[in-house]
Amino acid sequence: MFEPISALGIQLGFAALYSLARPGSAISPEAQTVQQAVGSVMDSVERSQALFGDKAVAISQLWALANECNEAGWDGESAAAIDRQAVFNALAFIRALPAHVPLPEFAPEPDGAISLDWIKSRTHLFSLSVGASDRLAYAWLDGTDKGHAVARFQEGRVPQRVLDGIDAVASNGNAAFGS
Amino acid sequence: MSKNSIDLANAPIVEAVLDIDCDLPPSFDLGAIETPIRDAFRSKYPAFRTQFVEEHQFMSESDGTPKMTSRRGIQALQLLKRSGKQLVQIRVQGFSFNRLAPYSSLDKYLPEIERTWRSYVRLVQPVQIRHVRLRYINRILLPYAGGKIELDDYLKCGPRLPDEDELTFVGFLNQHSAVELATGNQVNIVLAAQSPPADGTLPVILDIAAFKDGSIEPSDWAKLRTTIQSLRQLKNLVFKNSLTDKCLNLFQR
Amino acid sequence: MGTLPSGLDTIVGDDEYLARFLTSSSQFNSVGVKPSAFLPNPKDRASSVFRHGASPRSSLLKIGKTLVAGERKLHGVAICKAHHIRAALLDVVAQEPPPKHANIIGWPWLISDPELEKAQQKERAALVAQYAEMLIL
Repeated sequence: MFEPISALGIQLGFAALYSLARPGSAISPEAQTVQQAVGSVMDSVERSQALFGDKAVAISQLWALANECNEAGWDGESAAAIDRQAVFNALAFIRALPAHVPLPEFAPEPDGAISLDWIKSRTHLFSLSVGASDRLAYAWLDGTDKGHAVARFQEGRVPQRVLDGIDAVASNGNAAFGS
Repeated sequence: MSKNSIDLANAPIVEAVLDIDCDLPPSFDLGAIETPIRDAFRSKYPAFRTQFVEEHQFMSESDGTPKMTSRRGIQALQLLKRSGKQLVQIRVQGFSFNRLAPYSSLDKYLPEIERTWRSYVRLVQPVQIRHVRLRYINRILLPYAGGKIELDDYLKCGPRLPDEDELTFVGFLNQHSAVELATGNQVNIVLAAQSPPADGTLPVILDIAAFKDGSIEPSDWAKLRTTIQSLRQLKNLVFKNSLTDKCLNLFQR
Repeated sequence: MGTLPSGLDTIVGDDEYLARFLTSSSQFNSVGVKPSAFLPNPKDRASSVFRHGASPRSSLLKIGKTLVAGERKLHGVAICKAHHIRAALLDVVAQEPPPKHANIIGWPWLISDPELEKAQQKERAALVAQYAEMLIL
């Protein structure tokens, strides 16, 4: 028998499990049991090349960028070093991206945040900043249309508006569409 | 009594948590408000602890050299009753009210939830409520007669094995996410086995977290209460329909 | 109009080329310059550029290596015109010393909401980046 699937807010992939694997507000031993059981499932997922290989590569790129810009003045001027909390938040964001969403490119920002970019062409792009807080600043160009907004990344779920923005400039494959 | 209400003499709840996640002022600093928070809650919640979060990341450099980075921060200020069975949490993302077993009824705890919530609003001044979550963690002790148990006797939505003659469970973890079409409320349901103790029972955890995203003014207790009750209805629906009558009867003794 | 020690006009003309030096290979890709390459430094609220085009290459590289990158590797240069910056509701003003130095200014600043501030800055940076030509070094 097929169970009904809602078109509203489908959590594809393991996004729901990631939020359960993180420390939450429940304190009972049973809550710890759930967290550990889910955590071991997620560990096993992340060891799979098929399920997690592309994200593992992206995570490596992210750490490489963090190491490259781990000192103030990386821009030759007075840019702040990439914030460690921004790195952890970006990692959580990458993990939370549904499997069908292409992975972004990363770039440093002078205030210590990390830019996640989906770039189809010079005039079609979606760019999102991940900093130390759980609020994501983003902007987009879509031909002559443009805009900017802020959304909150909580509970390990990527806001639908952000997914819509990525989807508007991306289709399949990775972010460097022009290459 | 509504069709989704539950009246159990011995409910298997081990923990109930109400989380209210908020937009907080940009200047909010959890460490800086510890003293006023402790003063405000001390009379009924005299015990205090700080919950830290530590994350460690290990990575390998291109030459194989391992490198570790870590970060530590305050996750929550926890204020507990002397018994340790009830606590209020001031978290980086908002407010929580936890009640551990013995648990009676949400109706009994709502006045205290309101009181502590209003104190939180006065001290922290959240800008907006973004997310309300009502989570009930149940520990159900299933009788384990002769080292065997038929899960279908107790669980309506239990796990299945591909061949139940040749295979037997040594553990399981089921997770579902669903939306209630009429209300837009969502629910995460986790069913997990725990290691059986020596008393001939199999502990099964049924973890039900009903939640709603939206915008509520922090001062609007009436709307917040309505949301909590709506989530409670959903939680009860999931609980009742996850378990057989045989299982529900275990909680009437 | 006056003249600066470098010999350039005090006013940066619309048709002047401006060079933004890039010290990370992550700041550009095969499509072009990424928006974050133009974001302002929060300390002085400006983005540093030099009033120089793509050529002559030798003098461009000399500026980049002696005045910007120092010991760091210079990965590339983003070249755009001043009017592209002004079209993004920013401005570029001469700021010497060092010679030929200018700042992109006029970025949105919202102390009460740093994330909204960043979002507004990103939009403007993207508008500038779409016109920038990339010189890979």
